[in-house]
Amino acid sequence: MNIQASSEILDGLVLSLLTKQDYYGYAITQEIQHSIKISESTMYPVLRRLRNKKWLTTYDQSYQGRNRRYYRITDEGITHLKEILIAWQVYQKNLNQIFRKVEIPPIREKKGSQHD
Amino acid sequence: MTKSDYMTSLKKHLTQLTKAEQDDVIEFYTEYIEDAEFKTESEIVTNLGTSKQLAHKILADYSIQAIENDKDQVQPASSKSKLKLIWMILLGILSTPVTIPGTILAIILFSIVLIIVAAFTLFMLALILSGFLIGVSTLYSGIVFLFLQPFTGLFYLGVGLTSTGIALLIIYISLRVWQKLLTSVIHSVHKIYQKFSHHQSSVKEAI
Repeated sequence: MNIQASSEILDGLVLSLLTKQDYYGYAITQEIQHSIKISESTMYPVLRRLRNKKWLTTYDQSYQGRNRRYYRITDEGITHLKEILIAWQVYQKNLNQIFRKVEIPPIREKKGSQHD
Repeated sequence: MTKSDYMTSLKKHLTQLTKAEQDDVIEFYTEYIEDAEFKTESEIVTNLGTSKQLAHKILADYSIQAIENDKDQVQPASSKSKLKLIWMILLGILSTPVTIPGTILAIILFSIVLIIVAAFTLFMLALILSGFLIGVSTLYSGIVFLFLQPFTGLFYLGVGLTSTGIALLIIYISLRVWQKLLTSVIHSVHKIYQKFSHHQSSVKEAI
Protein backbone atom coordinates (compact mmCIF):
# COMPACT_ATOMS: atom_id res chain seq x y z
CA MET A 1 0.00 0.00 0.00
CA ASN A 2 1.42 3.33 -1.05
CA ILE A 3 0.00 6.82 -0.95
CA GLN A 4 0.77 8.56 -4.21
CA ALA A 5 2.62 11.87 -4.15
CA SER A 6 1.11 14.58 -6.31
CA SER A 7 3.30 16.69 -8.56
CA GLU A 8 3.05 19.62 -6.10
CA ILE A 9 4.48 17.39 -3.38
CA LEU A 10 7.27 16.19 -5.68
CA ASP A 11 8.08 19.84 -6.47
CA GLY A 12 8.17 20.60 -2.76
CA LEU A 13 10.43 17.64 -1.96
CA VAL A 14 12.96 18.53 -4.67
CA LEU A 15 13.00 22.22 -3.72
CA SER A 16 13.42 21.31 -0.03
CA LEU A 17 16.34 19.05 -0.88
CA LEU A 18 18.01 21.84 -2.87
CA THR A 19 17.90 24.25 0.08
CA LYS A 20 20.64 22.16 1.72
CA GLN A 21 23.02 22.00 -1.24
CA ASP A 22 23.11 21.73 -5.04
CA TYR A 23 22.50 18.25 -6.39
CA TYR A 24 22.92 16.48 -9.75
CA GLY A 25 20.09 14.52 -11.40
CA TYR A 26 20.81 10.99 -10.22
CA ALA A 27 21.56 12.13 -6.65
CA ILE A 28 18.18 13.90 -6.49
CA THR A 29 16.36 10.71 -7.50
CA GLN A 30 18.37 8.74 -4.93
CA GLU A 31 17.62 11.19 -2.12
CA ILE A 32 13.89 11.33 -2.91
CA GLN A 33 13.75 7.54 -3.18
CA HIS A 34 14.92 7.32 0.44
CA SER A 35 11.57 8.83 1.41
CA ILE A 36 9.01 7.85 -1.21
CA LYS A 37 8.78 5.34 -4.00
CA ILE A 38 9.23 6.99 -7.37
CA SER A 39 10.28 5.44 -10.64
CA GLU A 40 13.63 6.27 -12.21
CA SER A 41 11.96 8.16 -15.03
CA THR A 42 9.98 10.49 -12.74
CA MET A 43 12.62 13.09 -12.04
CA TYR A 44 13.39 14.38 -15.54
CA PRO A 45 9.97 15.97 -16.14
CA VAL A 46 9.87 17.33 -12.58
CA LEU A 47 13.25 19.03 -12.96
CA ARG A 48 12.29 20.34 -16.38
CA ARG A 49 9.09 21.82 -15.02
CA LEU A 50 10.88 23.44 -12.06
CA ARG A 51 13.46 24.93 -14.43
CA ASN A 52 10.76 26.23 -16.81
CA LYS A 53 9.05 27.91 -13.87
CA LYS A 54 12.44 29.45 -12.95
CA TRP A 55 12.32 27.84 -9.51
CA LEU A 56 15.75 26.36 -10.10
CA THR A 57 18.74 26.96 -12.34
CA THR A 58 21.37 24.58 -13.62
CA TYR A 59 25.11 24.75 -14.08
CA ASP A 60 27.58 22.22 -15.42
CA GLN A 61 30.64 20.88 -13.68
CA SER A 62 33.07 18.32 -15.03
CA TYR A 63 33.37 15.09 -13.11
CA GLN A 64 35.81 12.30 -14.06
CA GLY A 65 36.17 13.63 -17.59
CA ARG A 66 32.44 14.00 -18.23
CA ASN A 67 29.75 16.50 -17.50
CA ARG A 68 27.49 16.69 -14.49
CA ARG A 69 24.55 19.07 -14.40
CA TYR A 70 23.85 20.55 -10.99
CA TYR A 71 20.55 22.06 -9.91
CA ARG A 72 20.34 25.11 -7.65
CA ILE A 73 17.23 26.64 -6.10
CA THR A 74 16.46 30.27 -7.08
CA ASP A 75 14.91 33.04 -4.99
CA GLU A 76 11.60 32.45 -6.80
CA GLY A 77 12.03 28.78 -5.91
CA ILE A 78 12.44 29.63 -2.24
CA THR A 79 9.29 31.77 -2.34
CA HIS A 80 7.39 28.95 -4.00
CA LEU A 81 8.73 26.42 -1.49
CA LYS A 82 7.38 28.58 1.34
CA GLU A 83 3.94 28.48 -0.31
CA ILE A 84 4.11 24.70 -0.67
CA LEU A 85 5.14 24.29 2.98
CA ILE A 86 2.22 26.43 4.17
CA ALA A 87 -0.24 24.53 1.96
CA TRP A 88 1.20 21.27 3.27
CA GLN A 89 0.76 22.35 6.90
CA VAL A 90 -2.88 23.17 6.25
CA TYR A 91 -3.45 19.91 4.37
CA GLN A 92 -1.79 17.84 7.06
CA LYS A 93 -3.70 19.59 9.84
CA ASN A 94 -7.05 19.07 8.11
CA LEU A 95 -6.46 15.39 7.47
CA ASN A 96 -5.16 14.80 10.96
CA GLN A 97 -8.42 16.12 12.35
CA ILE A 98 -9.88 12.88 11.07
CA PHE A 99 -6.94 10.50 11.33
CA ARG A 100 -6.02 11.37 14.91
CA LYS A 101 -9.54 10.68 16.15
CA VAL A 102 -9.68 7.20 14.67
CA GLU A 103 -9.99 4.32 17.10
CA ILE A 104 -9.42 1.17 15.14
CA PRO A 105 -12.47 -1.06 15.76
CA PRO A 106 -11.93 -4.78 16.28
CA ILE A 107 -12.37 -6.83 13.11
CA ARG A 108 -15.74 -8.57 13.13
CA GLU A 109 -15.58 -12.26 12.33
CA LYS A 110 -17.51 -13.51 9.33
CA LYS A 111 -20.32 -15.90 10.14
CA GLY A 112 -20.47 -17.35 6.64
CA SER A 113 -23.58 -15.34 5.89
CA GLN A 114 -23.70 -12.25 3.70
CA HIS A 115 -26.77 -10.86 5.47
CA ASP A 116 -26.34 -8.36 8.23
CA MET B 1 22.76 -3.20 -27.64
CA THR B 2 24.99 -0.80 -25.72
CA LYS B 3 24.36 2.36 -23.79
CA SER B 4 24.94 4.51 -26.87
CA ASP B 5 22.56 2.32 -28.91
CA TYR B 6 19.92 2.88 -26.23
CA MET B 7 20.45 6.63 -26.49
CA THR B 8 20.36 6.59 -30.30
CA SER B 9 17.12 4.65 -30.20
CA LEU B 10 15.68 6.98 -27.54
CA LYS B 11 16.48 9.99 -29.70
CA LYS B 12 14.84 8.35 -32.71
CA HIS B 13 11.57 8.16 -30.78
CA LEU B 14 11.69 11.82 -29.81
CA THR B 15 11.49 13.39 -33.26
CA GLN B 16 8.44 15.48 -32.29
CA LEU B 17 10.63 17.50 -29.95
CA THR B 18 12.98 20.25 -31.07
CA LYS B 19 16.70 19.54 -31.43
CA ALA B 20 17.46 21.42 -28.20
CA GLU B 21 14.80 19.47 -26.28
CA GLN B 22 16.10 16.16 -27.64
CA ASP B 23 19.66 17.06 -26.63
CA ASP B 24 18.46 17.99 -23.15
CA VAL B 25 16.80 14.59 -22.71
CA ILE B 26 19.82 12.71 -24.06
CA GLU B 27 22.25 14.68 -21.86
CA PHE B 28 20.11 14.06 -18.77
CA TYR B 29 19.80 10.31 -19.27
CA THR B 30 23.41 9.80 -20.45
CA GLU B 31 24.56 11.41 -17.22
CA TYR B 32 21.93 9.54 -15.22
CA ILE B 33 23.02 6.14 -16.55
CA GLU B 34 26.69 6.96 -15.85
CA ASP B 35 25.91 8.05 -12.28
CA ALA B 36 23.59 5.12 -11.63
CA GLU B 37 26.34 2.82 -12.96
CA PHE B 38 24.01 0.85 -15.15
CA LYS B 39 26.44 -1.36 -17.06
CA THR B 40 24.30 -3.58 -19.27
CA GLU B 41 21.31 -2.95 -21.48
CA SER B 42 19.11 -5.13 -19.29
CA GLU B 43 20.02 -3.01 -16.26
CA ILE B 44 18.97 0.11 -18.14
CA VAL B 45 15.72 -1.46 -19.31
CA THR B 46 14.85 -2.77 -15.84
CA ASN B 47 15.24 0.68 -14.34
CA LEU B 48 14.18 3.06 -17.09
CA GLY B 49 12.10 0.83 -19.38
CA THR B 50 12.83 0.25 -23.06
CA SER B 51 13.92 3.27 -25.05
CA LYS B 52 10.47 3.36 -26.65
CA GLN B 53 8.65 3.29 -23.29
CA LEU B 54 10.91 6.00 -21.89
CA ALA B 55 10.39 8.14 -25.00
CA HIS B 56 6.60 7.79 -24.76
CA LYS B 57 6.68 8.82 -21.14
CA ILE B 58 8.82 11.87 -21.93
CA LEU B 59 6.54 12.87 -24.82
CA ALA B 60 3.45 12.49 -22.63
CA ASP B 61 5.03 14.71 -19.98
CA TYR B 62 5.92 17.29 -22.61
CA SER B 63 2.31 17.27 -23.81
CA ILE B 64 0.96 17.68 -20.29
CA GLN B 65 3.23 20.60 -19.57
CA ALA B 66 2.13 22.08 -22.89
CA ILE B 67 -1.49 21.80 -21.69
CA GLU B 68 -0.61 23.47 -18.41
CA ASN B 69 1.07 26.33 -20.26
CA ASP B 70 -1.88 26.47 -22.63
CA LYS B 71 -4.22 27.24 -19.73
CA ASP B 72 -2.45 30.57 -19.21
CA GLN B 73 -2.47 31.45 -22.89
CA VAL B 74 -5.15 33.55 -24.53
CA GLN B 75 -4.77 31.92 -27.92
CA PRO B 76 -6.16 28.37 -27.73
CA ALA B 77 -4.35 25.52 -29.46
CA SER B 78 -5.74 24.34 -32.79
CA SER B 79 -7.90 21.21 -32.99
CA LYS B 80 -5.14 19.37 -34.85
CA SER B 81 -2.56 20.01 -32.16
CA LYS B 82 -5.11 19.05 -29.50
CA LEU B 83 -5.71 15.70 -31.19
CA LYS B 84 -1.94 15.21 -31.32
CA LEU B 85 -1.70 15.93 -27.59
CA ILE B 86 -4.39 13.34 -26.82
CA TRP B 87 -2.54 10.79 -28.92
CA MET B 88 0.80 11.46 -27.23
CA ILE B 89 -0.65 11.14 -23.74
CA LEU B 90 -2.41 7.94 -24.78
CA LEU B 91 0.92 6.48 -25.89
CA GLY B 92 2.41 7.57 -22.58
CA ILE B 93 -0.29 5.76 -20.63
CA LEU B 94 0.07 2.61 -22.70
CA SER B 95 3.84 2.52 -22.28
CA THR B 96 3.64 2.87 -18.50
CA PRO B 97 3.79 -0.60 -16.99
CA VAL B 98 0.50 -0.74 -15.13
CA THR B 99 -1.73 -3.60 -14.23
CA ILE B 100 -3.69 -5.14 -17.10
CA PRO B 101 -7.13 -4.17 -15.69
CA GLY B 102 -5.86 -0.59 -15.53
CA THR B 103 -4.80 -0.63 -19.16
CA ILE B 104 -8.07 -2.21 -20.26
CA LEU B 105 -10.03 0.37 -18.31
CA ALA B 106 -8.04 3.17 -19.93
CA ILE B 107 -8.62 1.71 -23.41
CA ILE B 108 -12.37 1.34 -22.79
CA LEU B 109 -12.61 4.92 -21.50
CA PHE B 110 -10.76 6.18 -24.54
CA SER B 111 -12.95 4.21 -26.92
CA ILE B 112 -16.09 5.63 -25.36
CA VAL B 113 -14.76 9.17 -25.55
CA LEU B 114 -13.65 8.72 -29.16
CA ILE B 115 -17.04 7.26 -30.12
CA ILE B 116 -18.83 10.22 -28.54
CA VAL B 117 -16.62 12.70 -30.38
CA ALA B 118 -17.05 10.81 -33.67
CA ALA B 119 -20.84 10.52 -33.26
CA PHE B 120 -21.13 14.22 -32.51
CA THR B 121 -19.00 15.11 -35.54
CA LEU B 122 -21.08 12.89 -37.85
CA PHE B 123 -24.36 14.26 -36.51
CA MET B 124 -23.24 17.85 -37.05
CA LEU B 125 -21.92 17.06 -40.54
CA ALA B 126 -25.28 15.50 -41.47
CA LEU B 127 -27.14 18.56 -40.20
CA ILE B 128 -24.90 20.95 -42.11
CA LEU B 129 -25.06 18.88 -45.30
CA SER B 130 -28.87 18.62 -45.26
CA GLY B 131 -29.16 22.33 -44.49
CA PHE B 132 -27.07 23.17 -47.51
CA LEU B 133 -28.89 20.67 -49.76
CA ILE B 134 -32.29 22.14 -48.87
CA GLY B 135 -30.89 25.65 -49.19
CA VAL B 136 -29.31 25.14 -52.60
CA SER B 137 -32.23 23.22 -54.09
CA THR B 138 -34.89 25.71 -52.92
CA LEU B 139 -32.73 28.62 -54.07
CA TYR B 140 -32.54 26.96 -57.47
CA SER B 141 -36.31 26.43 -57.68
CA GLY B 142 -36.76 30.00 -56.46
CA ILE B 143 -34.73 31.37 -59.36
CA VAL B 144 -36.60 29.17 -61.84
CA PHE B 145 -40.06 30.15 -60.47
CA LEU B 146 -39.14 33.83 -60.25
CA PHE B 147 -39.70 34.21 -63.99
CA LEU B 148 -42.86 32.05 -64.14
CA GLN B 149 -44.65 32.95 -60.89
CA PRO B 150 -42.77 35.80 -59.15
CA PHE B 151 -44.42 35.40 -55.70
CA THR B 152 -43.84 31.64 -55.46
CA GLY B 153 -40.33 32.28 -56.65
CA LEU B 154 -39.73 34.87 -53.92
CA PHE B 155 -41.08 32.44 -51.31
CA TYR B 156 -38.66 29.72 -52.42
CA LEU B 157 -35.77 32.19 -52.49
CA GLY B 158 -36.59 33.17 -48.91
CA VAL B 159 -36.73 29.58 -47.70
CA GLY B 160 -33.47 28.80 -49.50
CA LEU B 161 -31.60 31.74 -47.99
CA THR B 162 -32.94 30.95 -44.52
CA SER B 163 -31.85 27.31 -44.55
CA THR B 164 -28.43 28.24 -45.95
CA GLY B 165 -28.12 30.73 -43.12
CA ILE B 166 -29.10 28.11 -40.55
CA ALA B 167 -26.54 25.70 -41.99
CA LEU B 168 -23.81 28.34 -41.65
CA LEU B 169 -24.90 29.01 -38.07
CA ILE B 170 -24.72 25.29 -37.26
CA ILE B 171 -21.17 25.17 -38.68
CA TYR B 172 -20.15 27.95 -36.33
CA ILE B 173 -21.82 26.39 -33.27
CA SER B 174 -20.48 22.92 -33.92
CA LEU B 175 -16.95 24.22 -34.36
CA ARG B 176 -17.19 25.93 -30.97
CA VAL B 177 -18.64 22.82 -29.31
CA TRP B 178 -15.99 20.66 -30.94
CA GLN B 179 -13.20 22.82 -29.51
CA LYS B 180 -14.75 22.64 -26.04
CA LEU B 181 -15.21 18.89 -26.33
CA LEU B 182 -11.57 18.36 -27.31
CA THR B 183 -10.35 20.55 -24.46
CA SER B 184 -12.33 18.59 -21.91
CA VAL B 185 -11.13 15.30 -23.42
CA ILE B 186 -7.54 16.51 -23.01
CA HIS B 187 -8.13 17.41 -19.39
CA SER B 188 -9.71 14.08 -18.54
CA VAL B 189 -6.91 12.23 -20.35
CA HIS B 190 -4.45 14.30 -18.37
CA LYS B 191 -6.12 13.19 -15.13
CA ILE B 192 -6.01 9.53 -16.14
CA TYR B 193 -2.36 9.87 -17.05
CA GLN B 194 -1.49 11.38 -13.68
CA LYS B 195 -3.06 8.36 -11.98
CA PHE B 196 -0.73 6.07 -13.89
CA SER B 197 2.53 7.99 -14.01
CA HIS B 198 5.25 8.41 -11.37
CA HIS B 199 4.41 5.20 -9.59
CA GLN B 200 5.59 2.21 -11.55
CA SER B 201 7.55 0.91 -8.58
CA SER B 202 4.53 0.90 -6.30
CA VAL B 203 2.51 -0.83 -8.99
CA LYS B 204 5.17 -3.49 -9.33
CA GLU B 205 4.97 -4.09 -5.62
CA ALA B 206 1.23 -4.44 -5.69
CA ILE B 207 1.32 -7.26 -8.26
